[in-house]
Amino acid sequence: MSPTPVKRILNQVTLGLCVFMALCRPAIGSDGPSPRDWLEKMMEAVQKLSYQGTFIYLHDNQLESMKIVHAVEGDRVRESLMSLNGAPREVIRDEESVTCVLPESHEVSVDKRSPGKKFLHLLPQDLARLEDHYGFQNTGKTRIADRQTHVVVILPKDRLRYGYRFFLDNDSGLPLKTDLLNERGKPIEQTMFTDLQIGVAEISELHHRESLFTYKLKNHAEKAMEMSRELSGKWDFLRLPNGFRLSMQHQLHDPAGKAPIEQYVFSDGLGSLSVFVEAETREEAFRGVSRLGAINAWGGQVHGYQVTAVGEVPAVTILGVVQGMQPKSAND
Amino acid sequence: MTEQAFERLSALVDDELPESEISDEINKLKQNPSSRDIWSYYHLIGDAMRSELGPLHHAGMARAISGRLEDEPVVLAPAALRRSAQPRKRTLTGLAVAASVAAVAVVLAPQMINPEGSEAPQQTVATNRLPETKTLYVAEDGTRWELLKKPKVESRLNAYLVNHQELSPTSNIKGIMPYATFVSYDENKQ
Repeated sequence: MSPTPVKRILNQVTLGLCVFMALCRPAIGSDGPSPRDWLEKMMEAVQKLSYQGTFIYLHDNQLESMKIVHAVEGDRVRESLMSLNGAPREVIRDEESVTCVLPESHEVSVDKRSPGKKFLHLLPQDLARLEDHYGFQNTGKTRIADRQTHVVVILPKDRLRYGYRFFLDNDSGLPLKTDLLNERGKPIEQTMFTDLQIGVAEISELHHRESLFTYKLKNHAEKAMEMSRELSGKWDFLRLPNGFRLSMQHQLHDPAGKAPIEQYVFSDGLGSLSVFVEAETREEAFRGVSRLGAINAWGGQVHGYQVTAVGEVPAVTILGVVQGMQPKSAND
Repeated sequence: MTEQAFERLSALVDDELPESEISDEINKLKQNPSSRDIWSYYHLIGDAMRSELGPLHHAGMARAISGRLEDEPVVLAPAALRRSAQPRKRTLTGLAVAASVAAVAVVLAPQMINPEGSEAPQQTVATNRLPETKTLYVAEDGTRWELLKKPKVESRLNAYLVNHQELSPTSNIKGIMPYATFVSYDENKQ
């Protein structure tokens, strides 16, 4: 049976496309990897490589230097971050816990890490979905920490989210410089390695450190907020800022209080924020707005509940989410 | 609210709208309580970021401001709008701020997120204009949250932030980097 004219045309179009793509491929190839290829390489490198180095951290016109260690042993990852200016604060993290060493208060606090919610993680295959709200670009090459880097930019398509500029090590794909860009494309937070060793990572065990013997364990330490499962939250969030959706919700058990706290996590795939709802009122409640580097926060009363929203997104986005919240009973 | 509406609102606060569209936008504000709230929050953020929240600041202020706006006549003629624009700005921020604010009445939220000035100049501003807030700044201890003077509130917010960061989609990529905000040392507040 001979193909119908429509089919024949379709076949020709398909063939044409194939020829076209075949012709284009060498051209694309000669441009080198796409921005997405670079980002995938970075995502793999930051998780799988062992490295340590010193980087500078610039935010709010303040400049600091820090030491980072990322040690990978088989499946286990242990990381440490230590400030090299002022009081030597340090955070050490592994799969199970986050330990903060706070010399000003002579305290060490150990918080259990929440069981991994790995389904929330950004994976290479999610990059395509981000393209609804972000554009990816290769923007050049430059030298950082005496290494050649390739520059990739993730630019938001509106003002509701932040963008990134990564300077990726040509060889390893590690980000040697990272600029967090605000909704106007200006850097609001920058980190840049001044020195980096790949394949080397040493974190000294806390119990070997004499300097810590006088420190006391923070009271609330063992009783960190624990998660419990709860399938349906008590709040609706209407008119979410474009691209953001509820990615998970659950209850937190608060050792200091009786009633559980509800947590709602919203994300556009890259940027994210959490809304915490407490039934209890406390003497000192967070009201208003605050900011910590690129992180914005809002606190206030909504229908008699204490609500705290926090995330690495513009304040506008946080307010947009909080504005749309309603107790579910109000709709019944 | 659509994203476009947010952007227009932000442009209005930023004084970036063409004059011909301002009255339209104000009309919309008048009709829509939720955009009115957001609009007043934008202003509130500005005041807060500039450390200009006086004792008048309370949770119901956004509504108080928008309520006031509702009572004001909407001016449609551009010429009249020009005349009335300045006093209106002053009235609105006047509610929130006891200090002189006319010069900084209208600001865009994103600018407050990343104010042109550094933290240090902000403190200078606080010192110059509102000497009574200076002691609070100095008394603040340790961590870096802006505008939070209460250690309990701050530690709770920190707990929430850590909790959030563990669940952020980029947590696997950023690793321990987000903790830089905690580890960082703030010489101004020690």
